[in-house]
Amino acid sequence: MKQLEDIIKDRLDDYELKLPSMDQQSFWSTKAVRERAAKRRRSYLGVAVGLPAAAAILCGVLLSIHLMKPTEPSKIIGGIPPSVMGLPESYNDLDIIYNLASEIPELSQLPVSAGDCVTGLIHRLYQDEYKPFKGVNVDEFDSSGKIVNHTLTDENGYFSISISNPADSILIHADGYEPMKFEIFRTDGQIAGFILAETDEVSLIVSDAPEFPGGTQALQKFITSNMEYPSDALRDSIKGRVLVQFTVEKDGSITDIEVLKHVHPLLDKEAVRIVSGMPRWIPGKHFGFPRRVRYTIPVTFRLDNSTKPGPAVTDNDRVEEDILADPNDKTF
Amino acid sequence: MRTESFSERDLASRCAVNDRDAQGELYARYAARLYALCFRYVGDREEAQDLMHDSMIKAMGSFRLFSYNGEGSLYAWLRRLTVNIVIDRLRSMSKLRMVPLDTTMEWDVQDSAGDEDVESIPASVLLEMVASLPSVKRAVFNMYCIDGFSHKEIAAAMNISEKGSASILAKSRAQLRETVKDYLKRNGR
Repeated sequence: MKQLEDIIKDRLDDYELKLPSMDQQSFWSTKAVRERAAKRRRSYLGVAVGLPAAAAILCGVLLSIHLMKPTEPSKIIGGIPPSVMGLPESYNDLDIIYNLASEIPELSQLPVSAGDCVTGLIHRLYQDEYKPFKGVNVDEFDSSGKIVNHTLTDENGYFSISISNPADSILIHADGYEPMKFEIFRTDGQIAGFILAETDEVSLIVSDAPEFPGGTQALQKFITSNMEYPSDALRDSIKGRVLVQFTVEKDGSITDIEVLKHVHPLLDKEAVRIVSGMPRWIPGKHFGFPRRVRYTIPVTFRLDNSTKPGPAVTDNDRVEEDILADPNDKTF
Repeated sequence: MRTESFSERDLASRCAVNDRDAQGELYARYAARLYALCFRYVGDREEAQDLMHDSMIKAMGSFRLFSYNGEGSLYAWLRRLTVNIVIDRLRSMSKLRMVPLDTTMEWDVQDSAGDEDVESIPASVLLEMVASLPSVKRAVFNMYCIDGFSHKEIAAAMNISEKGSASILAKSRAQLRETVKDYLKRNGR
């Protein structure tokens, strides 16, 4: 079978994209060249035009907080060495090292004085790309919930708020996103990364995938031990691989089960039945925040001499490699 | 003057001396292809047009460096020149240093769509799909799968590790498969 990328290469290798009609004369003129160059310098990078995905698009906000005294230079230092995170060695002041911890990082409680500045950089995560998030509300509020100070992020996603009382908390919120709150602290230059989750969207991609309790091996065992091969299908030698898609909710429960790739109504129905009987999963998370995640698994119906209708293919049965992702595979 | 009859070698040598007709012919023959190339790398039509124009202008200035060696060598040369310009531009964009998240889909839905299904997708739609990948994945996918760069070359060009390149490539493939799957689903296959 031809790989998708081979098909894409064949079709796009010499593809001709229609150009807007233009006067050739003016195209080559040096004035036009200068104008184009100037226009490029003025504008920011072209934004990728995205095809809307059928499922919900993941939108989140990454916050990196840097608390500093006004006189300190605003150098951002990562808590985790870049090499460990697989990032390039060299970073300038504007680069951000994202904390990939799955839990919200513990923040040390060190003394902070009134008048210190909290500065931060907020980005929006859209289809796997980080874009500066302008207009996010950053509030300092006291123990009674009263807002004592307020600012907004600028077009670079940057904010700076001067703290009146170190005992206060900071609230970061934007329309359509789950707000984030934390107590004021001094991190000594350490980056803390957070994501503001878009309320209730179902994600396709998260930092920590939902997991069947016990992992992929356990999931496969569950499927095979609960499979009751429909006897009519067995009689007619119907086999195949049904792809079943479902949502893993924030509490791990499984909802919205549907067949993504059909094989045969009898097998499809059995696959859905098996999936409906799954116990709760460990929910997916995106940088510490539980997320609803859309997930797909294959349910393979195989015919061999030992296939009997009804329950329990035993644990001793061979499990085929092509079904499971190898948990030891470090390629990705 | 009939420009369609220019051979590649003719075209090149005339462009080298700024022959107006030859320049027009060069544009007529190759601009659309180079525009498509730029678009699949940068994902934005205006930016792609700019880059294509840049590459044409650069070509005009470099024809003395071009030596014809067989049919198709002119296009190959133009194409390489354009890819280099595009990669230079990508490199200078700070976007390139944003690292994509780890994906989570362990299940490699390889053959969820039949060949015939995928083959039926119009090339223009495939182009949009590639162009709509996020910038890093898009660049690596284009370089590896369409323009034939090795991971070593990609690593050098984009200032990442070879392993990073392989990893990003895998994610880009997975994402394209998802997009194709979605598209086929929405279009009733």
